[in-house]
Amino acid sequence: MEILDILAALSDHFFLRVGEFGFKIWELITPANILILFGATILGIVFGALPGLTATLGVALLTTLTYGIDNNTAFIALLAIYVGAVYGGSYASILLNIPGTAAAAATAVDGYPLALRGEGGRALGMTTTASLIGTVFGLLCLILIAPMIIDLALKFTTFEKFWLAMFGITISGTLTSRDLVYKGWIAGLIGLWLACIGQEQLQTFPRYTQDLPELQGGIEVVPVLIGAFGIPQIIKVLRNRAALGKPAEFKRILPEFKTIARNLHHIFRSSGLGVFIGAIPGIGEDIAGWVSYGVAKNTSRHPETFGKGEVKAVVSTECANNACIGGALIPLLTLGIPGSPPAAMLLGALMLHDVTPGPMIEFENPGFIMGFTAILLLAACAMWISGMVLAKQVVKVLKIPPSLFMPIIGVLCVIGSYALGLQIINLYLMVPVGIVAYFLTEMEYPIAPLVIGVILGPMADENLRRGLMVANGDITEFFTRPWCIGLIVIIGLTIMTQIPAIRRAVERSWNRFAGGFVRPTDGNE
Amino acid sequence: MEKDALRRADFKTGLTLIAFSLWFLAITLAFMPFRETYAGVENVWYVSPWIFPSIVLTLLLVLSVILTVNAVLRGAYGDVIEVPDGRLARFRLTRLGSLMMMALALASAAGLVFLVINIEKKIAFTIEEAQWLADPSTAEIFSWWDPFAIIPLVATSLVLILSLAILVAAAKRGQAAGSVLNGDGQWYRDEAFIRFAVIVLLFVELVYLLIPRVDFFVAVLAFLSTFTVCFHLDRADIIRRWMVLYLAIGAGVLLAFPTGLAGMVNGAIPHLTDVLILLAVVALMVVQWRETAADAAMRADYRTCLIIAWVTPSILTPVFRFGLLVPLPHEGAVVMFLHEVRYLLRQAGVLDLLSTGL
Repeated sequence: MEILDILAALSDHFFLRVGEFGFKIWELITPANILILFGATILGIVFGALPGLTATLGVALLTTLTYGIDNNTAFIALLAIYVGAVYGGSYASILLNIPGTAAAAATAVDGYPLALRGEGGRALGMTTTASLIGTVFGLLCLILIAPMIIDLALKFTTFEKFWLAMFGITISGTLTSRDLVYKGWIAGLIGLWLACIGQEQLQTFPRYTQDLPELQGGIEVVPVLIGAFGIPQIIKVLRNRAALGKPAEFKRILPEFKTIARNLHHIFRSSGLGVFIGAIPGIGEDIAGWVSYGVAKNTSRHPETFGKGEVKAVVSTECANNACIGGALIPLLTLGIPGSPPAAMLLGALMLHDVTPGPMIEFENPGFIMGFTAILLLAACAMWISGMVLAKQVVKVLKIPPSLFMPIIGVLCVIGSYALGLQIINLYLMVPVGIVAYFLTEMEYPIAPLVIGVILGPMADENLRRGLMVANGDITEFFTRPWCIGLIVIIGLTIMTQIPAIRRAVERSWNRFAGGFVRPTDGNE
Repeated sequence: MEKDALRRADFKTGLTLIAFSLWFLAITLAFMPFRETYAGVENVWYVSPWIFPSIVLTLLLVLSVILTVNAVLRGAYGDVIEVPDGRLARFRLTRLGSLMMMALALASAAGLVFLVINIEKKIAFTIEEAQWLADPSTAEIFSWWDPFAIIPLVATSLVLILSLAILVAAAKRGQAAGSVLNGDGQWYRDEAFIRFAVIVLLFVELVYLLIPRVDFFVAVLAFLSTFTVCFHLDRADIIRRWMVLYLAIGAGVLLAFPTGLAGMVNGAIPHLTDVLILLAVVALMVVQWRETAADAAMRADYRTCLIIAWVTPSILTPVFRFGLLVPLPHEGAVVMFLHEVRYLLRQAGVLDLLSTGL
């Protein structure tokens, strides 16, 4: 009977939550919101489709436009452009073999060969439906996992929060570095240092302000991020004369439900991977796409077909990069740590609208996560409908030369940076930050850890000193609490496994260990 | 970037980051309160504002050193080979030699920083509390002109300058190492670099000169006209004229505003500087339009550039100023004109009609 009672309570809870979710969606469906939803989604698809424009930049520029609007409408616009941009990257990948966004880079490998075979419409249909499924999977994980993370995070004290911030920097730097791993750590440390500029929180001592009153409040995150993501893209796209090329032709776009049904196991695996990678701070959709591609290829019975127009490759990458959206929102909303660069921009937008992400979010804004997830579902549906109906019109945008739309983006970056705080110093900082970010990306420094550093810097600084205050200067408190030890071990392992000598030693030990289970054979057996 | 070029870039970046972290570490240690009272509150070391930046900068210093050494070991500063004309080069350094020279440069830089901090006791912690940093025998307070301060300062500076000079000279003379500092050729003539420089110049002039002083509409019009023409058209003469005009506008703003000339001019006739810039831009548009008459394709491209240059600020200015109610950085001739238009429309009841219709 007890089991029946528990089941009854669970099902009551479940149906209550479903009812609550449905009510949230009903509240959001107004003519103005629907108009903004579809407008922002199409804008997002255009941003994603055009090489050089990214989801992060789209969210950043729209943040300035939605500043004075009510919260629900603003979040509808921001999430719609985010979802649309992540999906929109597949257009250029499939039709031009040029990824519209980094998230769609893996889609180009098999998507473009499909387009060359005359199956461009089919490929777009698959990516549209796969993106919808991935986004829905991500938001379901958000609803289910967020409460558990919040419960856990409420038990964290200042000591754990300090190590959590350091973990975010370390893991982000490690996983996003394409060249030397410590370049990611260097980028993270630069971000942490930038966060130190301004009056510090505990004693209001001005650090590195050069007696400028404009810097007393520190560096505004959103304008600096606009510079860091906008200006390098403008320079990179226009620095060479390369034209985009003619997009491959395609006929109708169909939902491809049968193909999707045949690849359900790939979809669930890729979506799970996408959510997991999204939940790791600062990693983002591009890594999710490549990891999912790699896993799909390695687990395939015919890996030689990958790279020649393999359907499951396209489905896997698009599911993963869209599921990553929901995954990135999990640490963002529950811990205040963004899971991807666009989520970092969303963090800035949330703060501008007086919503402070973190463990207290449901106490300060009851029902916020449910509402946010409802908006994500609407954005996913709008993305699917727009993709199915308007793909041919959106593709025309790909014919616009970058030399015409990039200068407009430059102006939007300028006015966007100024509009948020109405401070000219934001503009003055945006340009050098953008130029430095350009050089850093050219030298293969990842920008995501820098962004994470700027965001997590205040959290790390305050919690370090607050923890020392609580412990009266005893630093052992940072090293003896259970969760602290766990985080330190993970950070330590992350760093140690990057040291070449240790990696070689581990590989040698593993080969010796594995070799003991494999009997050497000669050719006669 | 190719691996070789990447390692050379790592070498330069590493040195830059080392200098950056040392400099800001010195500022942090010298100017932030450690234990003395601040704002009436007695400080303790563990809430001092320099703790976190010091940790970050120290980690950055360590990683920068690793980056620089790694760049050298992976060939950024490779073995010097014979120079093409056969003469023996001075300051020829082997890999080991270059590593030693770098270590000497680093050590002298660190020593210089330490001396600057300790002279006149700029940092608040006492020598007893930082035994690992200093010899107790130097715990006395020196002034800058004391021989015990001047001699170490000068000596350390000389060592630093000499080691850096040797490194630079060796890099210039050695073929592989020469590329560390000079690059592989005349990089400044490379088209990609020129395009990069033009983009940076366009943004720098827009943000630092035009936006704070010139009407927003006019500034964006000038910026977009020049930007789109430079990168969308292929006619060198047209591009050159637009760049000259844009730079001339920037030079004019740089001269006229700080000297007060613009203030006098605008005092006599309101927003005259904006009108002059607008007229100059429009005049060049008209002149160039006539010059493209012979080439239909060029004219079509030029027309597209002009449309973008006019339409973009025409949409952005009213959207931000009247829609989002964002005061623009500088509201001059055109924005004031739009205000008048809006006032007239409101007087005529057109705006109320539109809002009730919506």
